[in-house]
Amino acid sequence: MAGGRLEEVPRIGVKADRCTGCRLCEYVCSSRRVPDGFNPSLAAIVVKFEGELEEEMTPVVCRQCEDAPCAGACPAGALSVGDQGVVVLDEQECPGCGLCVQACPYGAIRLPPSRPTPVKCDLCGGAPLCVEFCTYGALALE
Amino acid sequence: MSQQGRMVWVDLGERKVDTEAVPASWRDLVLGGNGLAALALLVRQKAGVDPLAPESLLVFAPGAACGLPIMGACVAAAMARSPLTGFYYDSYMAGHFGVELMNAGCALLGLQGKSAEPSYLFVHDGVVEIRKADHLWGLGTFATQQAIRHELGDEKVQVAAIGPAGEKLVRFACLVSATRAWGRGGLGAVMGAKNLKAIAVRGTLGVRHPDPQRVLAYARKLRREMMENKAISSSIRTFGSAASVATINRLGILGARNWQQEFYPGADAITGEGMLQAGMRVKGKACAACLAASGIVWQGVEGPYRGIRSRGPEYETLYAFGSLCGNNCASSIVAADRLADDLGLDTISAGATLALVMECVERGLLTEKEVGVDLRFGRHESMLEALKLIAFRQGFGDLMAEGVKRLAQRLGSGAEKLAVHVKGLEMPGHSARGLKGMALGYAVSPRGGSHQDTRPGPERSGKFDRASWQGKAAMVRASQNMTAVGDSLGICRRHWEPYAGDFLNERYAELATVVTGREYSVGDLEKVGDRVHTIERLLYVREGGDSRTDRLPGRFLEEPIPDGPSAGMVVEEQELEEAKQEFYRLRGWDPSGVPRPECLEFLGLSGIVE
Repeated sequence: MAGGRLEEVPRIGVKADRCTGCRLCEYVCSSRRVPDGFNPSLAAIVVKFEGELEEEMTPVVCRQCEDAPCAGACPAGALSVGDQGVVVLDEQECPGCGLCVQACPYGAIRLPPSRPTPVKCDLCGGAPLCVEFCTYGALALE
Repeated sequence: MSQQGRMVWVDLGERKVDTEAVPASWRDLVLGGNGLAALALLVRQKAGVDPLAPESLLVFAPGAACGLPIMGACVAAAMARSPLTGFYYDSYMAGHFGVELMNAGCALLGLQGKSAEPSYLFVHDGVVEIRKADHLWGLGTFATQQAIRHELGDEKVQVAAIGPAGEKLVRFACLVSATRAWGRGGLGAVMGAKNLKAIAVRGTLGVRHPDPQRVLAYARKLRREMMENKAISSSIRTFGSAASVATINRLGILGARNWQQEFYPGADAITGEGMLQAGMRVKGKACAACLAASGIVWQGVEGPYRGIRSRGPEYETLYAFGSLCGNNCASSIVAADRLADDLGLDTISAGATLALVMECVERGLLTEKEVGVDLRFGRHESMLEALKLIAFRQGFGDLMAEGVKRLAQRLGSGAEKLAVHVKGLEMPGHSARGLKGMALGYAVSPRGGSHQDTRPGPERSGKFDRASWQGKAAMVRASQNMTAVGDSLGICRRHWEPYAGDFLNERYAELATVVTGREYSVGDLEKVGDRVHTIERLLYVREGGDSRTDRLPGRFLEEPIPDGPSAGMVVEEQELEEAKQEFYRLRGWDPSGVPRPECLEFLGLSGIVE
């Protein structure tokens, strides 16, 4: 399946029309990065709001691309496609340059000013908290 | 709980910012949100300050639960002395602003002074910038929010803005953030008087909690239990608060035609079901940490209103621009809701003011020529025109911008008898005549005509006999304690009333325990509720309020409901007075409604107030 996605590679699928904009995904995701609380600005998922009434909501999260542009852009080889097809970040190797952020066509990797390395979805090891807390099924593990 | 949250004080005149920690004893006394705002005003502001003077203090305080993934935790208080009532007014807004403020490290933001030029604030991670707003002055609330986000280059910035109404000091001007509002009490005019167009906030500090895993476990349980509750997962999810129109009209307690009636024969078209069937429902939208997504986006489907969208109207707006004005064109109410949000007008007070004018016209006390538009009951096109006149204070709009009480005073005695308000605040859509507890609740509310101190639910559901005065003083106290605790924790009533109930109980105690990381019993929470209400009472008394100002409009005391299922019901003045006395006794206040020294001592307030 050159150029395509392997069927068995897990990723978080997004159905934006089901998103209500509660941002619970951001809160719970952040709890994996903050030991003593919650901080949506450090979450690996973000809900975008558009429209005059901010009524068009879209969760943005890593799609675990097979030929991941973020990994290709990393000068240090800190991003790689792991065993399960999950794109993983090796924080020890990461220079924090932000080239991966620019390379991602979906805006799914972010480099918060307060952090030395980017925030990137790792699927919580297979049971993503954001999916668990998404009330109306805008997020699902595919 | 955001223990790191600080109190940030901004003097707009001096362009000075001070921050200080929230005293630990204050958190124990009042939790946050409502309690913290009221306590800060009691300590920081002296009596008699003109609400629109530079010295007037306007405070914002997110509830203690804001920033935690607890369903419904997003509500923030705004509080100041009200230009409408002359007493203190605490208003609440859901949405995302309060959470952002908490994430920015602010447990309380206090504004004083008047900026020399039009300005807006940018609060980010505890830092405050006062920025120029000449280019924003005159804009509607939606355009203002967009312009500020664009200017700051960060789409995550949350903005609360006033519209032209706040700039023009309309006494019922509000603040709007996204599509939610600090709606009531005229706090938008307090902002406008400070030359402050908006507050923008961005927080990347997050909130700390002693045991985040416990919060997550609790959130899992809450979600499961709330979704099993049909009111939350079905009715509220589908209709939002619009579901209430049919229920309330069926009981014959839906204010209609300036409260001349409480049954509205045309109500079907403005019920949630009616609007759904007319194809007006677009989608549901959530606030932060919300489960129900009950802020429904509706759109107009008729005539000039076709295609106009609003997030709302909520129940109160369907009442205020609908039944109260004898208007059952739902599409026009969507358009009026959107327009009022954009102009920065409280929809309840605006609708009630229009309704008073309509009755004056009907009775020949005013003519179309004097008003400038054809404000007769049901004339929705004129209503939209009148909203603009009010917001810009043009023509007769200048007088309408003063609200029901002052408008009636200016028009004279004939109109004063028709003025339906409590303490200067126009009535929301919950009957005093048909719900005796609400009658008492309005009379003793520090805010006046607000349905957010005492709640209508216990009587409307039939758990309490709505025609009887029996036990109502105790019910009102218990209801007020629930609302004060809920507003101090910052939780959405649309989740928590159906889930946890109308009164403080083990579920609320569990919530407070998880949020604070400190064990709370139901008794502890009742005491917090008693304390917050007593603080608010002290503020009320300080501005000249007592048992004599705890009164209801003549229409509710003298005119029985004329027709419909509640025909004949009226507020019996003698019973009301007796219920007031019983209520004061239960609260530990004296017969004039003033807190006794022993009450202050018991509530731990005697060291804080003189």
